[in-house]
Amino acid sequence: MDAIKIKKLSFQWKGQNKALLENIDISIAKGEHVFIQGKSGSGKSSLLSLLVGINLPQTGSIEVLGSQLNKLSAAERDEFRANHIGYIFQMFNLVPYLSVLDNVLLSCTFSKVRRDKILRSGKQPVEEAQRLLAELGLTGDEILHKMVTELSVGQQQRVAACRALIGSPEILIADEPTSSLDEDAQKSFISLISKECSLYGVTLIFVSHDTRYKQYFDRTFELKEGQLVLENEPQNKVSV
Amino acid sequence: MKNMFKLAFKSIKYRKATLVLSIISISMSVLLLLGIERIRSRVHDSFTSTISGTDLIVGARSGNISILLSNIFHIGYPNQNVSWETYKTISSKEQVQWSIPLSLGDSHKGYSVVGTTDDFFAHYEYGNELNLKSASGEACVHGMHCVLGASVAIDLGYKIGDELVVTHGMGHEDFIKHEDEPFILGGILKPTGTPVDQSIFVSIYAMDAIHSHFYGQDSQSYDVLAGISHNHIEAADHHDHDHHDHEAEHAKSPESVSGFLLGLKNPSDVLNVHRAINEYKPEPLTAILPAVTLIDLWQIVRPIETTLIVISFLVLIVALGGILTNLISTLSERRREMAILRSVGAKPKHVFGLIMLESFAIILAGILFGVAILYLVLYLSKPIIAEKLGLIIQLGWFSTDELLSLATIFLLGGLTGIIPSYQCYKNSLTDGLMINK
Ligand SMILES: Nc1ncnc2c1ncn2[C@@H]1O[C@H](COP(=O)(O)OP(=O)(O)O)[C@@H](O)[C@H]1O
Ligand SMILES: [Mg+2]
Repeated sequence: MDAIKIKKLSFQWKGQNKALLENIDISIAKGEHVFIQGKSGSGKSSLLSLLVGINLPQTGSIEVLGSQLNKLSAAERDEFRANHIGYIFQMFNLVPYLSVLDNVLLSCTFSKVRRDKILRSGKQPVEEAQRLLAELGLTGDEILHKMVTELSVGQQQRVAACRALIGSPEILIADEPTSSLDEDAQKSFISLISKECSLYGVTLIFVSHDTRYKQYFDRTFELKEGQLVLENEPQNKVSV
Repeated sequence: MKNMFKLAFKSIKYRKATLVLSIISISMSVLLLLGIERIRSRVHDSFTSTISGTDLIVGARSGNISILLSNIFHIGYPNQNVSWETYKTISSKEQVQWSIPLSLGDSHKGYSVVGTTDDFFAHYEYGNELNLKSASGEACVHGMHCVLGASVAIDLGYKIGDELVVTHGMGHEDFIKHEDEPFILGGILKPTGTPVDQSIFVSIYAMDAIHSHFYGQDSQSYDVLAGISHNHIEAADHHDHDHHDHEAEHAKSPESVSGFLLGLKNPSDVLNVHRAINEYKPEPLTAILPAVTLIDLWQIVRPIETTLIVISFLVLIVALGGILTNLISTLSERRREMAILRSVGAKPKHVFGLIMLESFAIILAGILFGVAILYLVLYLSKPIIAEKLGLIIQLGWFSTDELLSLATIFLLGGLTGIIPSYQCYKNSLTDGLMINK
């Protein structure tokens, strides 16, 4: 089954006289890693907001994990998103007044489904958070209890990735998460999250205006003039 | 819910620098509101409890308030006196338990001098059945002895044994002084928060004798004075508390009194005696019930009271406006934070609740801080207020009115959070996720 199935989607912001996205059709398989590239202002973030059900399209349908988003109420979409989708922003990803650990645990605080998934595996949320952080190279009590504002931007993005991944959501969405990092950090961050996603079979949708890293993904699309154009389907994905 | 409290608490801690300003402005207005309320109710209480054990005040026929003002507050001067015979007749009625004659019109350095008898110290009550007590010396006006109210003694710096010269009329130095007949300071009273603190008490007999002598109405005045002094020594030897009767026997009675206070054996007789005095044939008299007239008098200053309350509420509104602008201005910084919370599954009600919790916490902190400062200020200024204003401020628990205004502040302040909460609730997700900076 596909993780995401979009049919004949068109979307226009209120007050805008031209449709931003027109007639988009795309299916993304479970566990697939997709790269969506596009110039600034091309509508990438808008597309993601439709994928996660923050906004609804004027025409067409979006099916995520078998649920028709436009058939859910706003509250149901909120809950669906919290339970099944992890989200990483470009910047200011963390709640500034919480420690590293508390930021990661935030996902379990508000989503019972994620918390229960961890508990069912026989672990406490704290242990799972520590494990994930350690996997992304953040270990030691000292760093775990630091205020997030004292971290480097690269470390902050890794904390954000942990928070998105904890409680095993089926889909991870990253909206230009690397654009505030330097080149080395960009590369290591991308390889880290694609490794994590492969490990847990998470469907990854990665959005960036920077095309350098597309070789790490199964498929690359370009968002251009409201259309999602398939760019390449690498025969051999570069293994990370 | 526990998590919400934790989040709200941490968020407040993070923003403490700006929130401290909100908290301070709220606590200042709480301080002002309660402080004004405390002083207002204290003034009101001390005013209406100026005189408490007295059933009736009697004077020559005039308005109720003017009788109260002249006899108790020593404001104004009765234009008619009551004859001594009338005073004697009424005070010997069978319903009367005690009576205190008052003779007014003299002063000493601006403080009014009251001619009376020792019954004043025995029967005058103020506040909650409090009697006058001496702080030093003895509270009795035998012969040429006088007794000072607490404020007079402090302001003029007199000690027991000092001599005072009384002036006729209320001027400072300008009027005629009775210089050859000084009084000797025999006692100083404890503060009462009533006009007693501002008064000097002398024997009504001695006062009359001085007047008679001065106006040359009585050629034997010196003998009379000698008689009083002599009598005083005698009375002191006997420790006789009814000695003013002896004094009255020996000394010449005054011709008239400015007014007198009556205490009845049975309080239920008040209305009868009141009517009897008002209908007294030989002389036109007015009797007043002090508690009733005090309330009438207080009504006159009502507008001032209302103005004070209005001012303190305006201050409160300004402070509430302060929290509102504070919450709204931090809101734009917090859009991203709220979007993060929403993206991890916080529902609109959580975002709404978080900001409401914060606004209630801020207002609560402001109230607690304000109350703490109020008590500190009251505690520190208590002696000063008691001394300068003659008001004794109790540090006691809140009155119902105060609790009500605190509850109002709490609710109004907390509810100011609704506006920013609602904005945040509406905007958090779309806005937050779409900000790419
Ligand atoms: N909340 C919004 N309301 C109205 N128009 C919006 C909103 N967010 C974005 N847009 C419009 O959508 C267009 C695409 O924006 P966005 O999806 O953020 O592009 P990208 O993420 O590719 O840079 C922009 O031109 C912007 O004007
Ligand atoms: Mg964008």
